Amino acid sequence: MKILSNYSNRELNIWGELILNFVVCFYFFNGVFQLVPGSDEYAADLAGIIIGAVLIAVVYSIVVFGLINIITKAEVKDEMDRIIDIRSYKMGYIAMDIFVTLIMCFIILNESMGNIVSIGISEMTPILIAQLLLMTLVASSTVKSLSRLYNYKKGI
Amino acid sequence: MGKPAITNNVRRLRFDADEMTQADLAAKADVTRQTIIAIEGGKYSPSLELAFKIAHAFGVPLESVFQYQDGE
Repeated sequence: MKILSNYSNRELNIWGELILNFVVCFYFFNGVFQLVPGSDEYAADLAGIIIGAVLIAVVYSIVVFGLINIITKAEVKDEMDRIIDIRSYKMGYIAMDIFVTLIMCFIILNESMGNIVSIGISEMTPILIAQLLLMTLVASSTVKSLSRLYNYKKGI
Repeated sequence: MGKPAITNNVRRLRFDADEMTQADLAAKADVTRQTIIAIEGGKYSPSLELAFKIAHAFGVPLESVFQYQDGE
């Protein structure tokens, strides 16, 4: 607890956000990749995983972010925070652009050069595409949080 | 990376002002303590408004707190 109180409220919140990203991602993708596409239970199992991920996120947010705001005093954003936010959102946006471009290149290459992985465009189900987009969102959110952390440490 | 173009005497002024804490200065300037730490460390150049607020908190003119090095 004493170690945590040495960090600022803002910094702890960023760490909390990063760990939440990791925990939810691990739970979600670990569950999803174990599902058998096309099986009878697929939709029900997927719904279960999504509900589980949402529940984990809600409980984690209440406990961890609540604890952070008890240990350290919540701070109102000032001008430096806003500049750091703008820079980190920009980095997150650039990362999302790159990831979406990479996914598109992957799909096109996979189709034109023979299957790099054993999935053709016809097998790219909406669920699979949604998962790829979800991964993109999580990755860009992680880049955003890391960028915020870096800017807080290094200064702007 | 070279020396920052804007330097400051915030740390010295704090000690001259009865060892004012960073938290006290932050409260007077209406910013977080992290921002004061970043300014003191030369990691952040404040806006003109914040610079005036800090100078006002010490009761000194702006140029006594912040100096511009033109690099020549």
